[in-house]
Amino acid sequence: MVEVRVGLRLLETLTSALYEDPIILFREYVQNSADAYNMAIDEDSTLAFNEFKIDIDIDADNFNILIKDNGYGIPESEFIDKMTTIGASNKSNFTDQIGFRGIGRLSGMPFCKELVFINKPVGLNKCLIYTWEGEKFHKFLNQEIDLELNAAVEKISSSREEYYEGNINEHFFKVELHGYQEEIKELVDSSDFKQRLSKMLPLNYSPDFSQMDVIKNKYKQYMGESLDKYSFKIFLNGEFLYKPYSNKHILESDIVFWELKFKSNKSTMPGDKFGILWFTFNRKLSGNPITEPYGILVRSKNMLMGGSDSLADAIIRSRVDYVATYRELVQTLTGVYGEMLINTPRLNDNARRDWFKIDSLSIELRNIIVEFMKHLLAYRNCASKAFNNPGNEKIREKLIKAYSDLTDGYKPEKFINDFYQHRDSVKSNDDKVFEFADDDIPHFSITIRRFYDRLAKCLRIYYLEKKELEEFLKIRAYIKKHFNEEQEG
Amino acid sequence: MDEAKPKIYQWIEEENKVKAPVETPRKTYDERLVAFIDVLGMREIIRNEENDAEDILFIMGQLNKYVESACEDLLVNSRLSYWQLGDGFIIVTNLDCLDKLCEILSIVQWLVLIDSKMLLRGAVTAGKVIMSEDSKLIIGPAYIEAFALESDNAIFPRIIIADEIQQFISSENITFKYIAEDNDKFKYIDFLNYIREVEDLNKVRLEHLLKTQGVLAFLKNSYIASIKKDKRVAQKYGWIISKITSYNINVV
Repeated sequence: MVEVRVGLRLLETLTSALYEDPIILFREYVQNSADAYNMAIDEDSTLAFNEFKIDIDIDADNFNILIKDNGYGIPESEFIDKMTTIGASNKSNFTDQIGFRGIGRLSGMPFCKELVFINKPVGLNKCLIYTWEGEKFHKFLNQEIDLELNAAVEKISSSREEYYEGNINEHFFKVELHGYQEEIKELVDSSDFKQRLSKMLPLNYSPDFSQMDVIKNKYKQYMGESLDKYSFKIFLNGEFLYKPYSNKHILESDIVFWELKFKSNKSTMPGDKFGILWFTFNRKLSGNPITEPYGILVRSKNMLMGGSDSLADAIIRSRVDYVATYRELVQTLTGVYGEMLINTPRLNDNARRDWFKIDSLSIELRNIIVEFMKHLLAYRNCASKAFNNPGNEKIREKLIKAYSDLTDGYKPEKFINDFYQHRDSVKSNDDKVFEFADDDIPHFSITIRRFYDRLAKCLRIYYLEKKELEEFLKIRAYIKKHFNEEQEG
Repeated sequence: MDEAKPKIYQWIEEENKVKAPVETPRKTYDERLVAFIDVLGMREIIRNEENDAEDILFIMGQLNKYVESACEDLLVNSRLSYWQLGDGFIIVTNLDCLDKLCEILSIVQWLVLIDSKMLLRGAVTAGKVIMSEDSKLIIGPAYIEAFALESDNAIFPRIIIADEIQQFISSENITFKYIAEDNDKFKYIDFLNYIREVEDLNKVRLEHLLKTQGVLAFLKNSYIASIKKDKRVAQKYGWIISKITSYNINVV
């Protein structure tokens, strides 16, 4: 029998490789809270209560973070086992949960001096506490002390109990990060921290977002359950967090839906429904500011997978179907707002939770994404041509087809008529229309757009002559990024 | 002498042989498996003139499609015949096809539930039947028995297996694993368990499928609606709900 020696470095590899970006730790702890609550109410639906919430409190002065939920905690008999389980799940029916590997619990350790879990199940007059000492963990690593994993865990973690003075029937679970490091400081101090959390966490839509009910009703009608099961009340320093959509994110197409279903090869089994895609776009598919939640945000059980460009990433990652260059894909995605709301036990998150494990079903998902992006690109190209050639009937027909393909024929005539009327009103003021600037920097002044356009045209001519159009696209993307960053700043 | 007979006599004899009536054996009863299934509540739907006839025909067409596709294998080998009688079906097959018949009935019951949100009940028995050559007519005690069993005893959305089957097939020849015994001691085809195992559906996948196909909502709403109107109908939904709940799937 071969004896496998597992050392402390494995823990470092696991935590640092999987949790490079410290924002992930917020996802992991929120996932654990949400999973624990949903598991409890799945077992006994009478345990559901409206007041379930998760608080994230940042104490920037003392470098502490508290993530607390008022769920049912972990039964006393299971607490130690759960706290010390690394990379093995003891959750039953784990595929129904958002997080399931038992690694996420340690995601905070590399970023703080001390990671503390405080568990208060109902009916217990004490809190059960488990501590991981991040500082000691780093010390052992730096001193290159050769420690086996089990021995190391004993040295860097400990458990204790504390008498609870409050009501015995109270219940909660807390994660405390004491003395967080520079990476976390940088993150929580950044101006877009709240926005990033709002984009990532499984939240509800803002009441100010008038299409909230349309999306939720569609989801319920198609998926047979409410999205609310995966939408949680989460507070950041006492402030309620919502998904980052408001009415300004409803564009001219209104909300368009795609129903997502896996194919079935068997006559006895219907194709598995696995989610819905909603999106909205303008007649002329011009880029939205990068400060907005542009793109199609892919969510598994309402938790973000990847980022704004994840659809482009999914296509490029596969290297099978050529759809367009990565830049073109991303540029096209900046013209839409939307979400792919996925919920299926048949797709499993990959280890980094930024996409799904590669298998036949995730390939099927990628094929759906390829189809969507092809339709979106086709519409974008047709719309751009139609905008510049209003009298051309062939282009008009192509535009109608592209629109119908993208939206499954949702009121094409009306939308296309509106398109040309809108185009005429914009074209009536000729100097407002720019070939490149309207797509790349639509929110800048006319003077800047005119300058941008002239510059881009010169560069295109130069690179066309050199037959290096790819270089032109790179430079154009760079300049665009520079302009937009300047505007953000 | 024969040789001396003019040729014409031979011809007449041969002609008479051809024309002579062929002696056919008398039609006798054959021993067969007979299943009778119908859709719960379909008669009420048909009776209600407010319901669109087109919709009813569509549903009946769907049912025909499910039965035809499930029976495909045995139909090809002429080992099975089926008749659609109004809202019900009679399926007749050879005695050695019990396992296959149970599979067919499980699949039809599953498809009717998952695709059309309806419930089937029925009965399977064995016995004597006569079928016409063109398979347009069936008569015999087994057919009557299956019909009576279905009407009197199936009650819930289940397909019961008559004990009489064992007079024709020894129990060791029945290998279909998904025959369960209900509280009232009737044996029935446990189609959910069959589908779960054959399709490798764990609890989570089965729940997801029933949820996304609208089955859970259909059962819940039908149960709630019928409990106020007719408790006998409610108990039929209650029966299938209890079977689904036994897999730890929350319906109500």
